[in-house]
Amino acid sequence: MTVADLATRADVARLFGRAAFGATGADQDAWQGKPYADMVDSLFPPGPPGTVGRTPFRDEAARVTLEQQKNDIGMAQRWWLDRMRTTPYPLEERLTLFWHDHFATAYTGQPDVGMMIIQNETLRKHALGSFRDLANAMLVDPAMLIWLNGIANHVNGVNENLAREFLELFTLGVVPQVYTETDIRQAAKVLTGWTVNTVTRLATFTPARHDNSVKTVLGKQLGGNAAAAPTEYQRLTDIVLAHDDGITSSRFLAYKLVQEFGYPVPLGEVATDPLVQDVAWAIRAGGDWDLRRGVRTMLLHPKWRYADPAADHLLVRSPVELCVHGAKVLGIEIPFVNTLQSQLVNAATGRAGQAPFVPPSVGGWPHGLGWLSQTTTLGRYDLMNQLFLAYRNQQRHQYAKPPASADLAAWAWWMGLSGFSTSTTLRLREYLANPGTTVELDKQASLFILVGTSPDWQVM
Amino acid sequence: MAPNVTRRTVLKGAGVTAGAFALSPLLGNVASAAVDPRTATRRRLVVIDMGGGNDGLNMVVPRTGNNRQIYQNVRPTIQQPVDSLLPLDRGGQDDGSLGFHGALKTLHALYRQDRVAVVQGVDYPNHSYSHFTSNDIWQAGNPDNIADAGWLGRHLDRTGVAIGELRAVGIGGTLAHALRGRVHSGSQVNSLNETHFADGTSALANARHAVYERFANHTALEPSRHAYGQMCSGVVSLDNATRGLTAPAPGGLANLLLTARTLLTGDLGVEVVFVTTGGYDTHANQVNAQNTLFTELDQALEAFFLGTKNGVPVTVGGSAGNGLPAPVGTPVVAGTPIGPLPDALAAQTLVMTFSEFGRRIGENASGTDHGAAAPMLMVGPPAGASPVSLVPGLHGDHPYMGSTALPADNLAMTTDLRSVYQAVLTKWINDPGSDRPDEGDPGFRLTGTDLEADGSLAGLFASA
Repeated sequence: MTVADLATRADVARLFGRAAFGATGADQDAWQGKPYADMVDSLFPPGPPGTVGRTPFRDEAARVTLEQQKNDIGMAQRWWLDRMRTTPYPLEERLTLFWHDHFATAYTGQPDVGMMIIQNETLRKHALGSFRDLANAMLVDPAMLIWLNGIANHVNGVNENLAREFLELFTLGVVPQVYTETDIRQAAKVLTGWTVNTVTRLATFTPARHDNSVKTVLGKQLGGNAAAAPTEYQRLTDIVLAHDDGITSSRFLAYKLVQEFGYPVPLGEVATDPLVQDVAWAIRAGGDWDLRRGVRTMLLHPKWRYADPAADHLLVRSPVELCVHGAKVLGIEIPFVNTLQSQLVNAATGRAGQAPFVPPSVGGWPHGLGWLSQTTTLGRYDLMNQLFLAYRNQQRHQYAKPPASADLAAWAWWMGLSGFSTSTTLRLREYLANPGTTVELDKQASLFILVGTSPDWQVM
Repeated sequence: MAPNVTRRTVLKGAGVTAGAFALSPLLGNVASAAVDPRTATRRRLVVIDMGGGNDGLNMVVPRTGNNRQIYQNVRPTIQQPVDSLLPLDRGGQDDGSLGFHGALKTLHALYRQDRVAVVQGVDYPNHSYSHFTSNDIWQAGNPDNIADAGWLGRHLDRTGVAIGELRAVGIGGTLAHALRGRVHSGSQVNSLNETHFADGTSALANARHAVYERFANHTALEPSRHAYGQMCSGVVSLDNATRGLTAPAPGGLANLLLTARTLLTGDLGVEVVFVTTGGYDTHANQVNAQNTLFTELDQALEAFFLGTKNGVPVTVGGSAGNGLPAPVGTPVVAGTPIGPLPDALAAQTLVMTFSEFGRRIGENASGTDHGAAAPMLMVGPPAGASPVSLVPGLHGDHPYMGSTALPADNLAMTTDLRSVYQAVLTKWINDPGSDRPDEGDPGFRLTGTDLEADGSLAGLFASA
């Protein structure tokens, strides 16, 4: 085993920062100097929820309660944020957030909170499974069917919304666009016939609403068989994924994964970027659409592990990642119950631009520098401030004690960084030279906020 | 295809910008201390992005003739009845063949005062039905490179943004692509309640903020971190610049337009405001959704121009304790009506709408799917108030709708969006007497077509 096979502190900070809602000091102690591949593999759960041998989620009862909820979206948001903080399987949860962005569906009253929670569990179940299964599940997911008007799509009134976004945003992308407007209209006919019972929150196929004609999508025929109509959408998924030997769809998925977990890929380099190609191959190999293999390939890839200093291979972290990482560092709960304090965490995440279950459009949230405006950047500051206030209020000092304000090396370790940049070190020293207070806990609050809003922590 | 589609204002793209480029991380650093002294005479542009793809055919609706018959045939459930429409006639100067949706009452009143222009059939060549591709094209103003800088950001690049100028502001959502230039970008102010630090202005908080502001000095060897640091400094500047400013919030889109009005009224150097709203993706339940959307749009225009909501004055110091700033030294009395947009500002302000696409001519059962060309609305100064005026009425040709026997599937472009942008830049925003004139966008000068000579948009603006 060579030195390169062993994890450095920078490796820990990067892997946990990107794929597991951030490192704690304990994570760094656990993995520094250990085999890098073992650290990657430790993030993968033994299987989806329900698998024998998995640790049950401590908040499963709350999730089942939320499946019956209609309108308290704030409670659902806090529940999910706290699951991200406490899950034994942070990579799976991180992928669930990724798929929520990919198949972006928003709570609007209809779909209601219960449907969003049901969809959330479906995303989690397939998060590291087969993309084919995930895509099929989303085509008949109750929240999705309402959100993209699948329930209004029937033989006498074909509604293209779901079919168009399935091709454009969920499977094939537009770099380049391989499908035509005719393909969309034909695919929409394939998807006719589905409705949702808003009381039971179940999707139902009604044969009389289905268009039983033969359709042609991407040059392949399907449909025309009434007996097979209830599963015709699965045939559509097969045709779309298999198009061009699976290269278009797997490359699109790999591109999305690399954009989210790796680095920005210019549109002109999607077809040539080596990491994208390797991840795409890992996903489509053998026709498996194996997301676990794709994600593992990415995290072990040298091009992922070693950021290219010549290119700008850093990512602006999302507000949800910042919130969960900050709560982990402080050891604070994100309360399920509705209190002023818990509302403020909701509000701060939202003002930073990412309220879970309420993406701004079917295109999902922004990425990279797109996250940043003065309004959202101030929201990031206020989020850090709010988390430390919660820490004070919750009297959590016995669980996670901040380092002494003057010990900057300890602050880097505590907040999951391998160290500070020269610039940030200078800024923190400037603060310590003029702290505006003599109270140590106030200085520690300032250090938490300033490290938490520093370029080093926000962009990694 | 259609015989009357040939009079396109602009034909084919002149040049293709190669590749994508990184959008600018730089911001207009704002501070109330230093403001461009020419602010008082500057003309202003307020753009409203009706996100989702607005169904233009139910906003500016055929009332008479062949187009009305086609409209009724292909829209059995979502058609707007003739007697519900607000006719575009202007005492006979327009022929009344079209009418505004019945919810657009304020807009219609402004139209009858000769303050409204409708630019018909606006789109771009090789239309995309994707929300995202089409929105990028509209915001970049470049059908050949969706990753180009925003059309208003490029305006900022050409004319410069001085230190201390809050020249362009986005309101609603995230900072719009249109406001992102290569060098200069707009600032984002979604609400004047959200521009100040939650930890206040204690000595402790101020010590933090002073360091936070200096994250702008982060080494430029890491461009993303540098860009983030620049934004931290922008946060502090905006906090300072907007101290004491509040806006009434009567609800909905009106909140955003009144925030815009406060920023335009305050002496901050604001020239361009880009307001983002959404919900126009009416694939289903369109009749109800559109009533709500157009009512909200009309109330926003009413609040912005007239200072009322459903005819009732919007007042300073509403239930949320908000109110427009009074002139320095004037005590703010809660309950004081904000009144109409002040004359001087009304004379300088153009409001303009767009959406990433219109919708299909025929309905899908209860809504409409993604379509192509659509009208843009513009509201300008009162007659005679400004040396440059918006010429009211219809501009460009109505798109061809097919025949009753064979209705068209989509509305094809009759006006290229670039010709609209160019007219707005060169005829409205441009201040030829200034030291920073904007003579327009090279990318909008296409195939040698002279906007003036071309015909359809030559008369969008008139000089006294």
